[in-house]
Amino acid sequence: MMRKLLFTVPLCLLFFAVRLPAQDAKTLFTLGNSFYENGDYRKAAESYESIISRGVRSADVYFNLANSYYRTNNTGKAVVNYEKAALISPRDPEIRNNLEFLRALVNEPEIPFPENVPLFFNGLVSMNELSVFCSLVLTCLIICASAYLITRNRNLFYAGLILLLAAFLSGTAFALKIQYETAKRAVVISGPAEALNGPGKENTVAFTLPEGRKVRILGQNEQWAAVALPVEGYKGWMEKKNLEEF
Amino acid sequence: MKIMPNIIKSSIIFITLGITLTLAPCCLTLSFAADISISASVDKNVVSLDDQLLLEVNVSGSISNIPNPNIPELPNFTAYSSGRSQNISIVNGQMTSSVAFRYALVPKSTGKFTIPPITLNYEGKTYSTSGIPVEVTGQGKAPAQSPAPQTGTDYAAQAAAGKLFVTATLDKAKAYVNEQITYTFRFYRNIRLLSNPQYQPPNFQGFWTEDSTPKNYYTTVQGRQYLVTEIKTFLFATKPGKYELGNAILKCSIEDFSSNDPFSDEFFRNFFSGGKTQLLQTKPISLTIVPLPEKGRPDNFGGAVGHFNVSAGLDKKAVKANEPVTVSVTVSGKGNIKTVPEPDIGALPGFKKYETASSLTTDKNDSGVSGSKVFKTIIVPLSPGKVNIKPISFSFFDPGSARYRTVAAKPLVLDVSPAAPGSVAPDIRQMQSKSDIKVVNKDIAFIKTPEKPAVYSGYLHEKPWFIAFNVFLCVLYLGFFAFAKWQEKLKGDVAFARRIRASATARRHLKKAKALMNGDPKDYYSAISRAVLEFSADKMNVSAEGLTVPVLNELLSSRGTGAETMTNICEILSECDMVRFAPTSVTEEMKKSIYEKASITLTRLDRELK
Repeated sequence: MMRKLLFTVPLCLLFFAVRLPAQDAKTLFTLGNSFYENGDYRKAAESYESIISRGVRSADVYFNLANSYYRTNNTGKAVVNYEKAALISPRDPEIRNNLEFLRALVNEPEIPFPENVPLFFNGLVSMNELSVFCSLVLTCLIICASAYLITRNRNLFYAGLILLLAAFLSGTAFALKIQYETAKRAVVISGPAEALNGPGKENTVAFTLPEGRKVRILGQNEQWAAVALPVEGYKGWMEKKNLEEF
Repeated sequence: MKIMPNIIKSSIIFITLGITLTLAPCCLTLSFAADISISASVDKNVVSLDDQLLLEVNVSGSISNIPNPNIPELPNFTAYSSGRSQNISIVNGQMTSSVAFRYALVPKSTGKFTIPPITLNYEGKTYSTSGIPVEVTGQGKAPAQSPAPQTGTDYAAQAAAGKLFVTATLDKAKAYVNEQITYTFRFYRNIRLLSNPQYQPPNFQGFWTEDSTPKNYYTTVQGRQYLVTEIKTFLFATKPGKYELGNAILKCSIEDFSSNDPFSDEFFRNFFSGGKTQLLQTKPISLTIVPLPEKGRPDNFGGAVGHFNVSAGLDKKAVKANEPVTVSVTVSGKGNIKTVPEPDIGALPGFKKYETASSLTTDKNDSGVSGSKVFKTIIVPLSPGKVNIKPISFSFFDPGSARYRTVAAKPLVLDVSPAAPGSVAPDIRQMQSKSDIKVVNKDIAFIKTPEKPAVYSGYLHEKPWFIAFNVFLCVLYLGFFAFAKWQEKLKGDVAFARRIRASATARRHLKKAKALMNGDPKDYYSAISRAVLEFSADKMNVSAEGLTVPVLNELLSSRGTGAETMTNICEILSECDMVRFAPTSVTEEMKKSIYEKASITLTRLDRELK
């Protein structure tokens, strides 16, 4: 009896330890939504933020948080959270719609033709979908190649070649996607923010950026980040407190 | 704004003439007789001394190249040509052209005169008009295009000074909100312009504006003849208060007479000097806008000022219930028609009422803006019967009498018959066309409200199980590949296959021998001998049949087998042969020892044979 109890208690604890954040997240999410629906956007944002602070990541939460930030005039934070949501579910029409709405609002230029091609492909599938796809192609390729080794069937050979090509392409896509997702990008969260000609307040101002503009981070130290605007071609140093990465 | 200069006008006429001349040959074959008529008219028969007369001579006929009429000597007038305009029409191959020649006549003295007949010679024939009597009165009558008094002195001063000047006038200095005010800009000139003048109207902030098309005419100011370009802008104030209309600016380029170089030829001077740019400005004009009176304001007054009428109509007089009917309410009249509000149809019990669409037509002439606005509302009767729609009324403020007035349309009667069985009131979506969609506000999409948020667990490719799965797949394949290659080799290389399988075969034979240990000793020894012989044969890829001890010895020694092993093999084989072919008694110990000897020897042989 005693032994049984000793065994059950840690199991229950383990169960709750896994269960608790999820349960919490659901409650906080519903709470945030009701705050939002009643127009208390600041409180709604707090609820969603507390879900995220518990280590739960969710496109729905990021999206609703972004909406709350937009309603409380935190355009920059809204953009960051929409981008985070878009990384998880890139094809979601509502996320895309709101991102586009804010892009127009902050006068962010659209990325011109040749440069927008990778962006287009990155918007088609999420990282995990691509992972599953690559794994699937690999499985098919291995089954096909094994079957060929046994049967020496000519059709299996051609199927194998096609699968090999697919594996190569999806592998390339996978590599590019990893590169895209790990590239450091950030949004100006308090603006207009100044970008200086060097790291340190003694440098002259190169340009200013409005809140909500996206920048690429080229490098950084404790306080300063070297940023670039790919479309306009400007480069400068910004204080990291004005930026939030996604 | 650009004023069309005479040079463009004349080039248009020139082009028209060019077209006429090219058309002429084909038309001439069709026209049998040159049927010419000529007439002359003046714009007024009584004219004051400081005004001018406009004489228009119309020549029309079935010929293309109408010659200029001969203007007789007019001792009491100074005549200026003020252009011509041509009009050609071809109907059923018959061409008619008419040309209007215009002359401005400035009287020199008072009295009653007759403009003598004007003649035209064409192919030897003479056509003429009748004389026109005119009377020139003294200065008593005000000129028709007289400037407003508030800038009168200014005007006279400018007229005395210049060859070109501008004036700006308002028809009233005090007006009600939304009442029409006419701002007239006039540009007087009696010299040639080198380029299109640029007109910049003053800032009309606080007013609705309606522009009218510019007008050109001749007038006389202090005995001088001027060509006047007149631009009228109709203003409607939006708020009461004191306003000042700033300067209207006109920029034009004129011939430069200031540099009087006596040696330069006038022709070249005109040709090469770009002229000088002159900036003409009007004086600012102040204006007071008063609010509309509170007293007597009707309840349905919506801000319309001017003079309006209202009428109403239905597109059908009799309908079935649930069928749509369009009520058109037309407000027409003079005033700022654009801002005319929708007259209230009022509550319509027993009807479904849909949104109203309005359409606007405006007309601008000298006296101001007029037009009509039609409001179309779709209504759907829900029950049968004769329905009277009460008269639709419209209120406006009449600035002339400074009073509010209400006009009403005739009452409307609609005969509604019972609905067709099964019909329902139509949906608004079916009645409005797609173009009726209006994007009112663009905003972000609403939050997502699933039961619980879809939790994202991070990158799959960073999860150990995912990596393990894929690595496992690869390893699995490599294993499979190696196995397949192995199988292939066994199949293709007999020697290799025999060598590989030799131990297994030998072990099988030894096992068989072990099973026979308690049976016939001959079979037992035969199995042992077979195990040794077949193992050796498999290892060296030779036939086991007929393999004798000497042959075996030779083969084994050539492959570097150790002497001890070879001796052991010989001993085993000869012992086996002894038992098999000679009657020998065999003990259990002998059986065991030969088995062990065979196993050890075969293991050794496996190691030593290459």
